Amino acid sequence: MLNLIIDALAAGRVTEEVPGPRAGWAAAAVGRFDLASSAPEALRAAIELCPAEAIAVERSGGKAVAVIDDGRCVQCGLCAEGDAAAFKNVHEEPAMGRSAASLRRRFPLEGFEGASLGPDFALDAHDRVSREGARLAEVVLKRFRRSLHVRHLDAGGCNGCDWELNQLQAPQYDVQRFGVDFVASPRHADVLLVTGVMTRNLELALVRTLDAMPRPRLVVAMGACAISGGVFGTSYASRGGADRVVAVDGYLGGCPPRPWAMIRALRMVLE
Amino acid sequence: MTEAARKEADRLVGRAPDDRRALKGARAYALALEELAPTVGRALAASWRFGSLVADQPRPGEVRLDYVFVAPGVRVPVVLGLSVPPAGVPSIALACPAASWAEREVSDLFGVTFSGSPDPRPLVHHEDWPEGLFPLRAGVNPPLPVERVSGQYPFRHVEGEGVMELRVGPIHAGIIEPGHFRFTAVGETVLGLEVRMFYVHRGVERLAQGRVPAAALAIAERVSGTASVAHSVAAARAMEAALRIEVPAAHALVRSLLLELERLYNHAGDLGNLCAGTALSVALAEGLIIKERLLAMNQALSGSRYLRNLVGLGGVRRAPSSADLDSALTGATAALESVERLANGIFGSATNLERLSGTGLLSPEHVRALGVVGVVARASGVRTDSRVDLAFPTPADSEIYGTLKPATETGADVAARAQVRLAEARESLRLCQGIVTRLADTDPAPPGISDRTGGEGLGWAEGPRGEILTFVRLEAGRVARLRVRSPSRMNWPAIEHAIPGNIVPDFPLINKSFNLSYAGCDL
Amino acid sequence: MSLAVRLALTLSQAALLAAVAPLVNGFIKVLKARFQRRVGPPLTQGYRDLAKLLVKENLHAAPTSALFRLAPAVSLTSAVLASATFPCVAFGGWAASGDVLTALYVLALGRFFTALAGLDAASAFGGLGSSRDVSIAALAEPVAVVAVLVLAAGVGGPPDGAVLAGVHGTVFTSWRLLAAIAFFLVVLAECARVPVDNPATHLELTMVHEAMLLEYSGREFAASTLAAQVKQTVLLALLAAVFLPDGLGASGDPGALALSAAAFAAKLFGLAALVAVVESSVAKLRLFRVPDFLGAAAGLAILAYVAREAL
Repeated sequence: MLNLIIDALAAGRVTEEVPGPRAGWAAAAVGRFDLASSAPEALRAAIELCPAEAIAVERSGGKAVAVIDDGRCVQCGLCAEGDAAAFKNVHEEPAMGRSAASLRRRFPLEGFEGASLGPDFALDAHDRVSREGARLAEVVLKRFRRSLHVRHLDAGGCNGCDWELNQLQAPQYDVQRFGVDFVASPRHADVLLVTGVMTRNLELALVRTLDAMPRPRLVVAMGACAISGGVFGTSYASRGGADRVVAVDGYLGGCPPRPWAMIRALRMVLE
Repeated sequence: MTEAARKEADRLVGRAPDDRRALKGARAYALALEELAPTVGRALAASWRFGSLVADQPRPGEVRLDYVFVAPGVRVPVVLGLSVPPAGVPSIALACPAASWAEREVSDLFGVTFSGSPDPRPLVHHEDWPEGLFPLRAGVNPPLPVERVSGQYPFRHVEGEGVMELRVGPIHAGIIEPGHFRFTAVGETVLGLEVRMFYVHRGVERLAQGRVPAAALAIAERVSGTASVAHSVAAARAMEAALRIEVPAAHALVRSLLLELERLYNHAGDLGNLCAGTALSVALAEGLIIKERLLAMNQALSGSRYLRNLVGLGGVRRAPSSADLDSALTGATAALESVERLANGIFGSATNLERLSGTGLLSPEHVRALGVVGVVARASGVRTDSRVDLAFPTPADSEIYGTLKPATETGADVAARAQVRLAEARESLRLCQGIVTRLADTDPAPPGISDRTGGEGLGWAEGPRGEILTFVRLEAGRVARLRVRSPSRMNWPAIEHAIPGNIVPDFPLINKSFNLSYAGCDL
Repeated sequence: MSLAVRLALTLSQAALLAAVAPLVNGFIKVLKARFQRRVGPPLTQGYRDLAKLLVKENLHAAPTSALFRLAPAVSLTSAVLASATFPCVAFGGWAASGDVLTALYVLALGRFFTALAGLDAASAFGGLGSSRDVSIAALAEPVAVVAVLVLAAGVGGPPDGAVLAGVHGTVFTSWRLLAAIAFFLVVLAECARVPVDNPATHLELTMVHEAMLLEYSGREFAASTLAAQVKQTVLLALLAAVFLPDGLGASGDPGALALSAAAFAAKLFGLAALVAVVESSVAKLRLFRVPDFLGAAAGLAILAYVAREAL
């Protein structure tokens, strides 16, 4: 009966120190993608291949910029395939920020002629930035930093983000040591953590869950789906990102985001 | 033997395969409407298993229905194809309960009506979906967001003295996907369970339409997060059948390796996860430790913790180096040792075993009637495994898997499902070793290619949860129709039959032992 | 000793037990985390959680009545009151002294209100939790009473905490250990711990105690949480001071008093560690096996009586 405990004590602790943003990255690990080539044909091919419509070329005035939206990118790497590819994997975590727009990274294009390409991000009217998180009093933030209770809601993803969230409870990450814990009831929660695209059939459930949470409270969208819909985008069955339905305080890109990035994103919203 | 079984199938259907049909990766027959019910009756009597119902509109104005079966010994799916106007198809669900959800789905998405259906309620659409709007029909493009109407879903209703109804979900207390469960119980004992799904319906099949194969594969990879490899391999095999692409041995073997590594991390994680249902916290933590190590190993091999971004059309997008393969094998071997220790804890704890034994029984009769696949079927003594039932498209795979004997148990309970997972994890490691050895002697090659831009194909893969059947029709180099039949789609209806007679607090444990994907089912 | 001094000492014992309750719970959590090969939350996490809850708003579901708002205060008050009915360190007039059965009844009052509040929110899980909780209580409480009465039979008088502890503290006997084990099993059931309940679960269908608190938020949730922690500490303290009082008796001498206070603290945390060990080594019982478990506890309590008579 006691052998479980004895074995565990003999095997010892496995909890890891929090790595820096770039530490512990295997050379092959898929990360975020930076511009590698300004060649128009390479950009066109990348835009055509991108399953999440995360790449665009914007023209404003005389200047052209390539945009890659980490809030949409599903890290499939199709835009970085081959020697002449437009983008390259830089082995860094996808962006996080307080607005969906802040996850779009821009690269000036030299000598690019022609019209805009790809999706028009300016038309993307979502990005309902929450004022609630930004207005939290310092005393509240201070207490949240020492005790943060998270209610997770899968709004309709592939379940990849959920499994990564589940891994936060693995002894290697041991999220409890940071005062963070997952709770069963929205009444006990300080943060609503949304993963997955906002499906039609869960809109009401998301709104009701947030209504059931006592203030002060925060909403965080993790993973490309929860931010923009990811590969699922907008369709008859879904609305895209969670901020189409509720105001969101923090965004973390990735498909799925890695557990350490999730921990950093939770800290970011409390800064 | 395969030839004899194919002749037998021809005799059963009463004709030769339809040679006008361009569907590859299957044995397709053309049927008239009135022939459907008798043919299906004979097929079920001959132990054919219902696999999928594919609705497609190659020409506007009519819906083609393909009833896909897996027949013993035929080694490719058997397709009974109907070309009919979208109304008045006789339902086969009474004779073949496995087809019930599939028929309901087709009538929701394509507007086909099935006469004589035992359960004509909507399935994919919830009560607020406007009547008469069929989102997968050609030319249907409703303004977004689709309007909501008021309506009510007719749940099954049980009345009686002391009977109470317990409604759970769609949002659950843990880190779990959404779905709605309605229990009718007397005290803590469950009389009945009704499962309501499709909260995470994202319209995957529609979204894939118009995409180039590479982008469609990225979408298929995201049908169900922990079966990324299996879903993309099944879709890639369907496309390759459609385009007559031959996959070189080196590529096919890497895919098989990824499939087995996916099974390994899933089964290891599931064994630990089971302990959340029994509150055996130390074993639960140990399972998470092992899974984390396997996910890190996946990342070292493929760049992705979920083994994404490697499967491509015609093979794999990037061949792992032999050093990568060796370290993956070392990692998998070490992980299996930990899994064995974990299993000792799970099965060696009397209090834990008491919880697992006799809980959540699913009879083999239910397995056969509902077309249940994967671990759940095998744990009820029904040996179905697409790695054995269906042929591999490449000879290299056939050799590796020639020695596979699918693990089965007869306990049909939570413990049996855990035992099958343990046995399969061992088998997966053995297969990985064989694959890596074989890869060392295999010459590298570029991925297979083709000049074709159109065609139809069926592809399959045995994912961690069971068989995946995927149909793809390509036109002008783009996906015109993607149809995914995930194992969870077949297994969700079965859980309704494993719960009655158990107590309410045992449901999470039984549910975990099924380990069903909501995303995979809802698409 | 004057009534005022006794009262002051009694109140300070109650306050002290209430104050360490989150620490005791945190200790169990950290120990469990070590068995799970991880660091675990800070020992003081319980206090941090309570401090945070104080800045959160109280939400009430539409169907709730005044009872729902009242219940957390009642259960917290009853838990604190219960801690004042027996002496933790010194016998013979030094601190609180009273009927130990009173402690059990006062705790039952808290449970009664919590269970009613679970029903009051009219959610499926609250009702489920309340029904399971009172079913378990109906079996656990009699066993606790029998265990206390066995001790009282040893004294031949009423179950006065100070007298029980004082008399039994003089000599260790095997039958008293049996009664203590019986009471420990009851404590596991009363405090919603494995193998009866699982305080770490997120599976709503399996919950017992937590299911009743799912609707609470803010200060009310803080009070309910603290009440459960105080109850746990009180029951463990009762076990340490009355069932296993060896080494706790002290005269007025401050040195001896400090020594017995240290012994009490060691026992309290030792018992908490035992809870963590049990919780980490066995699986949770099926709900319909809980009567067997508490039946075994009843058997032990009766065996203790037989053993006392026989030896």
